[in-house]
Amino acid sequence: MSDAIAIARGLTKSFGSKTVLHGIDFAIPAGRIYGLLGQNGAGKTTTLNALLGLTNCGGQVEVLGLDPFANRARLMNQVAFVSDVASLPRFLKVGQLLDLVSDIHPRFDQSKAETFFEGTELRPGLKIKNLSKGMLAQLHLAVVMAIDAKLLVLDEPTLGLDITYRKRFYRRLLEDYMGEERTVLITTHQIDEIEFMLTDIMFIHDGRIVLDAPLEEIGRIYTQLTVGKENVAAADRLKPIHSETRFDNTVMVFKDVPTDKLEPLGVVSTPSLSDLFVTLTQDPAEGEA
Amino acid sequence: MRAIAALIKREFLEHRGAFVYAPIVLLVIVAVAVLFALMIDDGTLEPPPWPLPNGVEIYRVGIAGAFLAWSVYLLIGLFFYYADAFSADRRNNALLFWKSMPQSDLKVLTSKALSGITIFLAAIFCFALLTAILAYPVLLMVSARHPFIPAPGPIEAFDSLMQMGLVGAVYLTLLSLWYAPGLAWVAGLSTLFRRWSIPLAFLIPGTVVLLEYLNSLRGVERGQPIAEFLAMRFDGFPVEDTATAILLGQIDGGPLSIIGLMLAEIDWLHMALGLVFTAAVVYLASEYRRRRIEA
Repeated sequence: MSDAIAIARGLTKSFGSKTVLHGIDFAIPAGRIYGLLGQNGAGKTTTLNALLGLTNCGGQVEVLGLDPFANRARLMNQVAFVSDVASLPRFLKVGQLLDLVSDIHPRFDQSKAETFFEGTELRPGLKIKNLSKGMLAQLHLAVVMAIDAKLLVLDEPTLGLDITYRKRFYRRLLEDYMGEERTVLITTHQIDEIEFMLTDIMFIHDGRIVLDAPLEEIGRIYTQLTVGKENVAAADRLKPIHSETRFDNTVMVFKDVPTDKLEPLGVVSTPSLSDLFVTLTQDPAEGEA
Repeated sequence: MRAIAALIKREFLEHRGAFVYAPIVLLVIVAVAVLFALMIDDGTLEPPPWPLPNGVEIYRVGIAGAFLAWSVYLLIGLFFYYADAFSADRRNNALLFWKSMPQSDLKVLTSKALSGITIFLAAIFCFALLTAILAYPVLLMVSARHPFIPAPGPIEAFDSLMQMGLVGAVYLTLLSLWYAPGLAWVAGLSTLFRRWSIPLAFLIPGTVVLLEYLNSLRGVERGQPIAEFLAMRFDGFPVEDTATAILLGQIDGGPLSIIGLMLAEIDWLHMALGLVFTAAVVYLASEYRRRRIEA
């Protein structure tokens, strides 16, 4: 893909005898909002760390034309990331942090960061160690959004925040950041909360990519069928990839099965991301149970 | 350059407690103690049987004493600073934030290494100079109460302060550079072992010297080169006796000649080797930091 901003080919990573990434391949195009979803320990953070040059992996990885591990500092001129909002240096005041980032990041716009404080309780004189987790998230987001980066990576950015802050965080990201041509890569467990903003989705399971597709193609590839008892046997013959009972109905997910074959059997819909995630990341043994 | 200056400023903000607040507290305690001593002085002090130096010489020795005392504080402060600084970013996951900035690990650790001989040295120099300035009114008060203790006039005192300040600045700089490999040693250990670097910094060479000593008891004619080397490094550049003689007018030459004396006495080969060792530790520590992400 010629306009890919990040490419991985045969990406592998092991910690001791445990293999975390099993030779994964993907290409992230520019100007998209990518959701990287997976269970705990699936390999999401290791994948992000490989893209950010924080860890050395096998295979090939390229971000903005650079090998991230060999060129991490150079790459960070064009890439911003938030891995943990609690990682901001606690010994500084808010204003000191902005001054410092202004001096060490050539693409950071301090006045722009300060405009993001409007409507928040953030003030330059506040000590970072005294900020609540929600305010820390607002501050960290203000800092990264004021960096003129081509790629923004957010690894569980709203972990530990309440629903109000989470919604404000993503709304601000969409309204104040994505106006320009930028690429955002997000990992989170709260799939339903970010579904509205994603353009592409990538599911990672046990160190392997199990889904990598634009969101608009999901409905074309996967179909959910809610079927009554009388049609379960007929629907089963179309080989659903997932099936579960909900009240008196059975909900099945099909891949690449034309809807005209499904419609006579029940109610056809597009599976939600969380349903699709469960479908594609459930171990066969779990599904049978 | 702007980034390095900003990173050094960051070190100052993070560690100013040891190099600004603690010295202020120390200075206040000493000032209170001196004031208390002056208040309870009943004026019965007897003159010593030997002739006292003149006022300028007494003040210069006092300034030298202030710089000597603060140099000890500087070395202790730097030891604890480097025992923490190279691993401090691993606290609270802060390493992730610093790695999101477009600055290499080598540059970040270089800024930490440079902080010791720039901003922190400058801070302690200021405290030494302030101590020397405060010593003058104290000397005037003592002289007023005990006329056999002379004090210099304001112009002579100012001149002494300027000259001795220059000597003190050179002394503190050379001292920091001479002990840089020792500080790099504890910094390198802290990269691997964090706070355990403090006991390990003594335990490892202590064990090596002990083994060397035990080996020497077997009668092998190799001596104890490691112990001798460490002793030489710890001795620094002993110029105290000659410098004191210069300050007391027993040897010709003003205070500024002490700078020449120090420059002449230093083993420059070992100074250079020590700085190469320091640079190597900083580089290796930065490579280690580049490869690790966990807090």
